[in-house]
Parts: sequence; structure tokens; C-alpha cells
Amino acid sequence: MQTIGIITSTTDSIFHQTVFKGADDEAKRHHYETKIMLHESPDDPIDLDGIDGLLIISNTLPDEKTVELHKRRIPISLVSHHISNITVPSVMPYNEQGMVKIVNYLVNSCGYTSFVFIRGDMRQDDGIEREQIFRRELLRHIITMPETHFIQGDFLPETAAESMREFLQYTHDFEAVIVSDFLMAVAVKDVIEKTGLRIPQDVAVIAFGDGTPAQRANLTTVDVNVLELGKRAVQQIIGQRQGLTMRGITVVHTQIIERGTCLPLRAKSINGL
Amino acid sequence: MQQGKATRAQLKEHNRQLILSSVFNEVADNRAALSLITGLAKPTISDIVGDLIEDGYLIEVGRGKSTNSGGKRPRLLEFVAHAREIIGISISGNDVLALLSQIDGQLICEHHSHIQQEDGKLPIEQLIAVINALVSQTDAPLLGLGIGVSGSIDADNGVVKKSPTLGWYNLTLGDRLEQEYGVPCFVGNNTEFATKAQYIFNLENRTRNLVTLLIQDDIEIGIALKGQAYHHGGSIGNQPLSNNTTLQNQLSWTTLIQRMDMLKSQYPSSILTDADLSFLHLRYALALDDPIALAIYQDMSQGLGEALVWIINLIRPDHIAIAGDIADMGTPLLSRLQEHLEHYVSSEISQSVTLSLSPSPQLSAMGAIAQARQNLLGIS
Repeated sequence: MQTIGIITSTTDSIFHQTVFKGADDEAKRHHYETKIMLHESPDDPIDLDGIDGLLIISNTLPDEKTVELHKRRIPISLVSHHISNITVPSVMPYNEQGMVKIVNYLVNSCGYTSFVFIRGDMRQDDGIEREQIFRRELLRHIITMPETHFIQGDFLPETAAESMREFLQYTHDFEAVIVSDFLMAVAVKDVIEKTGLRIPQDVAVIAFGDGTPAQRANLTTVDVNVLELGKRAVQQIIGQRQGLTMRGITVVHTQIIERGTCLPLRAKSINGL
Repeated sequence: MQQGKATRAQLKEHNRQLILSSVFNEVADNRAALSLITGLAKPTISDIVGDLIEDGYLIEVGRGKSTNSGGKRPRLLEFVAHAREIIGISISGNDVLALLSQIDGQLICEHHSHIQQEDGKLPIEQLIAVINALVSQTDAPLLGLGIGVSGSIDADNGVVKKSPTLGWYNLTLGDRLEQEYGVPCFVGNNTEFATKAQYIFNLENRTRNLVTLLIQDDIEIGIALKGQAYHHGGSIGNQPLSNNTTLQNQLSWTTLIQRMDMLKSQYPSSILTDADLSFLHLRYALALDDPIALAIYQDMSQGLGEALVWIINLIRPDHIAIAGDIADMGTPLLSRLQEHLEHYVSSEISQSVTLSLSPSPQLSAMGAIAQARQNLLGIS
């Protein structure tokens, strides 16, 4: 049986597990199997014995290592990462579309104009892109935001929670919190509510990405079908196995999931707010 | 010129497309209705519908109601949107956008790439590598490709006659891609395809006469008259303006950046000091009454206003869409243009034309999909 190796720094996160599932389901359709290859440190060796293709998640491998593997003609697809000027394709969430939708929703549908932004891991393309596009959209809506309102999150719920706690000691002068990832947002929501602020009446919260914890927390989000990330990466690997040279980034589309942590203008007028 | 008779195969293909588009557009949903609408004999309809069902384009979905005169309830037919997939591509500068779509235009996925030119030309092999990434993701047979580029195109023969931004001259792009993928490939001008997309996919309410102005490094025009794309649109960047410059010199981002640089010494307190400026920075600065932004905005709206007056007086369109990054200037630009038109065009005419900004970079690629679909299935 042909095997696609999935190189990952963790097997614990919901995001990674969903990518694994999307990849595995698609691999099986084509009579391939997948093998999780845990790579916790950049110096960990990569055993390519029996591996017919590689799916690499985020920045698990340094780019130089990926380029080296590519030179050995191993079919590779990157998920949530990309390397420029190289014939290695990628699959990513459509960060631009998602962040545009978030800002449009907050400003046009909800009437919010003062924000806090909780960053993702700024070593990862998803983290970098989401902040860049958020800043760009602030220009479009003629909104100025102090640099102090951009706070650290690192895609780690504990870090985001601690940053939010510290920020709330400094000011409550904001209307909405935009969080680069829904797991951070669940933690941040909890911190906000413990200060006595009501969500969404006093503060709105919206996150990029969706999953069961977001549903349980009644969180408004922009959803990306993470299964598609895994599925499409496997399709790209199989295409390379069939002799196709590839480049570029496939982006997976997003949609707003309205739940209970933002208050649209129509709801405000109904509730007399 | 005397036209020859249609061959049997051409006639069959024509009838096939007629039936397919009738079911797709929900004009007829059973064999009897198709016979009535198309004028084709019932046995001919049955043969062709049988073929279309076998090819996966149509399915039978139960029985409809009897007619008033009684009789058998007709077997209902439905179009299968996912029977085939189409790839639409748009090349803008060094950026390639490719869309994978069902036949009905519903997007399956989107793929982007930045390609480095080599010796002043965009390498075809790199374009093929971008398309390959989408080809690998098809879940149904690929029907065809459509590709939009800037410049002068011989659409009937799939030849890029002249595209200076891509370094392509007399390139038989259609043939090259057909050889690569074994499916038909249709080549057109980006702006014409953007216009087609707005008409076909209902984005501008199926306006009868539609003009698209695509403003990038060059200024291109696409025209749809009475719903049909006019193939001789293309660059109008050399159009002279009243201030002794050309439209391209007035509106291209490269020129605007140079002008901003020149004005910096005059207005040192301007906020437009970033190295990576964009139209959004300009819009933001305009809202704060930045002097450089005000000067640039005045130049832009004057130049664009003159172009619109010329277009309206010549073509009398129902709607003009302004596409490209300039669309990021938003409502302030639209309002200013409307004022300009009211000043220079009779009120009867200016009130009959609507304007919009189309920031969507997908338009040309969607138009390429629409073109492939129209040529191969007769569906518009």
C-alpha cells in the first residue's frame, strides 16, 4: 500500500487531528494510507522508508529542510504554510477572505469600531496573514487602532488568556475582540466574563476558525473546513505522484457562523440597545 | 461569403446544446416540453436526452403532473451541475488566479500563485504548474479551460497576439494548453471576461449594455452589448486627456506612486510615507484630509471622469463597473465620479447610467469559466 507521511509537531490539537482525518479519508479513497510522523524538534531525523509522499503541517520543518526533501523528488504538499518560488504546492485557509468577512461583519453588521486583536503564532503564515489583513481592513474602514491593542496569543489558549487578563487591568475601552483562533477565543471569553463584563452586551468576541469548543461556548466565528485542508493536500500529493509538477496555494473558503458573542445592529434595535 | 451546410455532427451538437441549456435554465423539465420549446421531433429529443443521461449531464427525478388532457405523467429531468468541472484562469501581472468550478458556476476551490518572469516573459511551464495544482483536485471529468490575460487576443483561434506585461507575442496559448490537458481551452482578454462574468453570473442584474474598466498597470475596457461580449475591447491606456497626458499615465499605480514621491517634499507632514503604499492607504489618508492624498485623488477622479464621459457619450451603457485595485478607493471615488458626470454629460444620460466598483479579483477567471461553458455546452 502506498503511504503518505504527515509531518506534524503535535497530535493533540483539534486543528491537527481534523487535518489528519481529512487527509486520511482522501488517501483511503485512492487506496493510500497515511502515517503520522511526529517531529517535535527541527533536528529530529525524518525516516522516509516506505513513504511515497509528504504532507507537512505549518512550520513543523524549517523551509531549508523542505526544499532539501523537494530536491530529492519526494511529492510534498504544505498545509497552512507556503514557500515562495518553489514547485511545492500548499493548501491554506483563505485567511484574507475570512478576515475581510470578520471586519465587515463587526463594522457593517454590528457597528463596532474599537477593537482588540489577539495575534496567532507570528512564526506561522496563518498568524502573519491574519494580522496583516486585519490591519489592511482597518484602513478600508478608516479605523485607527493603538498598537497596545494588538496583544500576544501565539495560538495558545493560556497565552491568550494571560494577555487578555493583563490588558483588562489596563483598560476596558474597546467594543470587540478579534481572536486569530477559536481555541484562544474560548479562553479569552472566559477571562472577560470573570471580570464582570457581559458578552455580547458589553464586549463582543469573534474568532477565526470553528469547532466543537466554539459551538459549546456559543462563539461567533469565521469557519474554515479544516477537513478540506487535509483532503486537498493529499490530492496534490497524488497528482505529483502521477507526474504533475505543481506550484501555488489552494485556499479553502470561509463563512461566518453567527452565534451569541456579537450583537448585530438589528438585534440591538430589537433589544432597545 | 457562402457558408457550407452544417454537418450531421454539428447539427447534433447544436441540438444537444439547445436541450442542455433549456433544462439548465429551467425552461423545460421533461421530454414533451423540450420538444415544444426547441421544435425538435420527440424521437430526436429522446435520443439526445438518452445520451445526456448516459454522459451524466441529466438525471430523471421522478414524474411530473399530467397535462389537462390527461395522459402519462412526464418523467422529469434535472441538470447535474457536478457532472463536469471547469477551470477558469486569470493572469494579472505576475499573479495567477485559478478557479475550479462546477458547470453552474459554483466554486469548488481557488488557487493562487505568483510567477517570476524570465527574460521579460511569463514562462508557460510555470503557468502549467499552477493549473496542474487544480487539475489534481478535480472530482469530476474536466470539461475545459478558460484563460484571461491582458492585451490583444485573437479569441477565435486562442492566440495571444500581444501582451506586453506578460512578454507574450503571437502565442498559441489555446493550442498549447489543449495539448497539455486534452480538453478545449478558450483564451480571452481579462477585461472582456470580467464583463462577461458580471453579466452571466447576475452580479449586475443582467444589465443589457455593460462596460468594465479594469485599471491596473494598463487601462483596459470590456464591453457587453445586448448581452454579448464585444471582442475588440482591450487597452485604452493611450487615450489622451485634456491635461496633455494619457489615461495610463494618469491612473496607473506606478505613476501615482511617482507623483506621491514628488509631492512629499512639498508636504512633509503627509502620512503617506510608507514604502508599501496601496489604494487603501490613499483612502485612509484622504479621510484625514492628507494634502498628498487630496492631490492624487483630484488627479485620479479627473482622469477617470474624462474616460467615463467619453465612454458614456460613445456607447451609452446602462452600467459601468470600475475594477482593479482602484476599487479600494470606495464610495468617495464613486461620488466624485458621479459629480463629474453630472457636470459634463446631459442629465438625461448621466441619470440613466449606474456606476459601481468591483474589487473582486475573481471576475476575470469567472468570466473565463462562463466562456468555456458557453462554447462547450451552449449555456450562457
